[in-house]
Amino acid sequence: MNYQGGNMGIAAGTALVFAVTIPRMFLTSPASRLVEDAQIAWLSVGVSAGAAMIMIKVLLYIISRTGGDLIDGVRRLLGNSAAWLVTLVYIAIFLANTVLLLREFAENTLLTALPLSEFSLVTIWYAVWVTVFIYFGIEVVGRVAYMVLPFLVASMLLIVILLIPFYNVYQLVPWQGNGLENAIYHGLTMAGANVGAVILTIYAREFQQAKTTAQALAFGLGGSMLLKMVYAQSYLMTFGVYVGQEKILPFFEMARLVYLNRFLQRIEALLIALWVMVSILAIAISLYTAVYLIARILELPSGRPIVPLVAAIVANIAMMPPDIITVLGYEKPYLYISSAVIYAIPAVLSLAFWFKRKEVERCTSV
Amino acid sequence: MYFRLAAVFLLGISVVVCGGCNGAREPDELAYSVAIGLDKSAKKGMIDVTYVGALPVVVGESGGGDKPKMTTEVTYTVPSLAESRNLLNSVTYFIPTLTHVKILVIGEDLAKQGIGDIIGPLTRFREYRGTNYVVVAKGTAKDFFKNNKPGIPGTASRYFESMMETSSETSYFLKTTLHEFYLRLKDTDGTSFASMVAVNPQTMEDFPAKAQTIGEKTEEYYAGDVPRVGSNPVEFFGTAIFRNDKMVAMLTNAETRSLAMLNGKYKQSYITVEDPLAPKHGINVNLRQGEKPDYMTEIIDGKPVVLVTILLEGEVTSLPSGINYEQAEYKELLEAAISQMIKQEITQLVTRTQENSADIVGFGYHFRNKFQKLREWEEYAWPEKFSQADITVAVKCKIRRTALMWRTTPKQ
Repeated sequence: MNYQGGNMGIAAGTALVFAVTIPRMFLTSPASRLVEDAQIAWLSVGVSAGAAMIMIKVLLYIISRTGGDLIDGVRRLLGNSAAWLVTLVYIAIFLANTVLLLREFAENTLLTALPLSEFSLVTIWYAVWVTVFIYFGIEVVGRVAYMVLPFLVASMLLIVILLIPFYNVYQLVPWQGNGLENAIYHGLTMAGANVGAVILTIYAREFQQAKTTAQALAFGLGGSMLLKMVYAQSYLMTFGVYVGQEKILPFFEMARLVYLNRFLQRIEALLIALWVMVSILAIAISLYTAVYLIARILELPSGRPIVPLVAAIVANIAMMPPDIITVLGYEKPYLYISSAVIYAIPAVLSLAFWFKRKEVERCTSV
Repeated sequence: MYFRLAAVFLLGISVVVCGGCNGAREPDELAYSVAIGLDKSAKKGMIDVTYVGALPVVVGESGGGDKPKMTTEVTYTVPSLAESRNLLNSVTYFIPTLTHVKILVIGEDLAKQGIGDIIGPLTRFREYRGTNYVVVAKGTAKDFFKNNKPGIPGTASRYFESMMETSSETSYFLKTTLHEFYLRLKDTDGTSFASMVAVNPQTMEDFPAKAQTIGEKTEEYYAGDVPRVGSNPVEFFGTAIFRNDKMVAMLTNAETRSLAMLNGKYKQSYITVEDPLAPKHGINVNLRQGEKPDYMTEIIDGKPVVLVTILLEGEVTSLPSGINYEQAEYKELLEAAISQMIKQEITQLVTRTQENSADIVGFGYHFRNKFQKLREWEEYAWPEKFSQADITVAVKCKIRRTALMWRTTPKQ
């Protein structure tokens, strides 16, 4: 885990952003969106991703001018203390994301695939594999992510297609659901669901140039946004607003419903393997980023020695909430806080950049 | 070095754990239930739950003697499905599993009492799935299973699955799933329905459900009333319609076919229509739905108004009268006769559903686009409006083919 620079390209960047922003589609998020916005949930999803994309684009622009990565940019514009503060905020965001994803995916593994297994064992198992995985570094994680990406997208689209016999297009209307203004408001306040895409600014030095990160953002976050919107519509046409709100695992329920004939049914078992891969990737990227930032803030030559320690802490925290409903309750405040972070940091940096733009050395490549 | 050792160690463990050895169960350790019956119990607050377990088919065992039994049944009187599953474990040394349940059969009395408390929890438990079929048994589910003798080789699960899959051949009963049933329990836009099953007394006694529709040559029957002898005593026939979670009425086979036409799920079936020019003869036509029904909806002074147009395409398969209905001028006569007959049947069905305040067709869904917000639609209170809705049915029938003959020559 050195941060002297790497050579990740658009594919790895796209895959990393996609892998870190898509996993909540496999969790309760689509159902929660239906509770908030009903038929217009798809717009809320789009607004969240669009808002996040704009704010991260602002960050990428600023650091393309200041040079280095996000921490370097903050240090240059606002000083060391601010850099510390921003780093601490992102450490908290990524650690919290790791805890929530770890717990939810572990619970869902029990629910869908291993009902007889011990919960703590599954959680530890996830944590151990994530630890081993991130030991190889972010470049390896990126490469694995773009190998998994085509299968992930193809499988999700396959489910959407195979469910066509169950679609009732009238479930999409009244098209404004709980209201256009509500959808935009919820979309903006839930932009934190895409906070993971900020890794492009954190690992800016690992990419070839500023254009690479900008394209990775557009393809990664744009792709995940499109898929989420398609999925929101597909889910709505299959389950409707009222039943759709009840499901804890919308993706799993959709996969379970696929029935073409006696020979093509019960395909969800194949897809469980896929979402386990996605979950490992998402947890790994979040945990790696948290460790990377800890190493940066403490000026450690490498973060590797603290990976198992941080993973153990995260796994223990993940096991603390008494039940899954409590964990789902933590999701909302986490997303609100992440949304605040998504807006606040680029806004403050933009102001600082505006005032100090002449002092900042122009830098065209990262 | 330590890292490599740790990696090898973890991979070694993975071989054991990810191979599915931990917690895995062999198929011959499990008792597969393929059907579940639910009946109202004689005891208050209890239900009678019947499990139909699949018996293993021994490969290569054939020859004379009785055909081997495919299933075994056991019935419990219990307060809940979960408790009956517990008790099931006490009669078999296999581990009970419901993951291969194909069909849920609900007794008529229980269906009339209300099944919301039973159906709802099923969707929560992972061993049931939305694609499980739901049917209502005339009489009791227990009797249905007791009398069910498919008499064909194969597995019990295949019997139930194939029966429901073949419903599209006639639309005299419909494929009704737990998913769709539950969706309609929750939605206000349409009410639930389920296919009917019954034990036929096989006495050949004729109990038609009602007088024939003008122009129709065949009778309509409720489940269990078809005059016949032989074959499997049980039959899948007609539909049970629900208001909220309670069964309120039954539909005949022809009404069920009309429901399929209105839902756009009618695939094909044969009808026998009175010959317009020689009424003592019947004409057989193989009908299919030409396109999805077209719903034109309006709200006039708060009252819902619908015009539903159904396009049917037919192939004449029998012309006993010898009249040349293949020719354009006669063909139009026949098309008009079929259209009129089907229109009457569908109109009768709509009237029945309005009388029962049970929108099984789902007309409500077609009014949703008149509103912008969900709250506005909910405030419109569709279930109250449905009974007063002005519903007009238009049927267009086109004879597209005349089977393997292009003209009929008169007897010389």
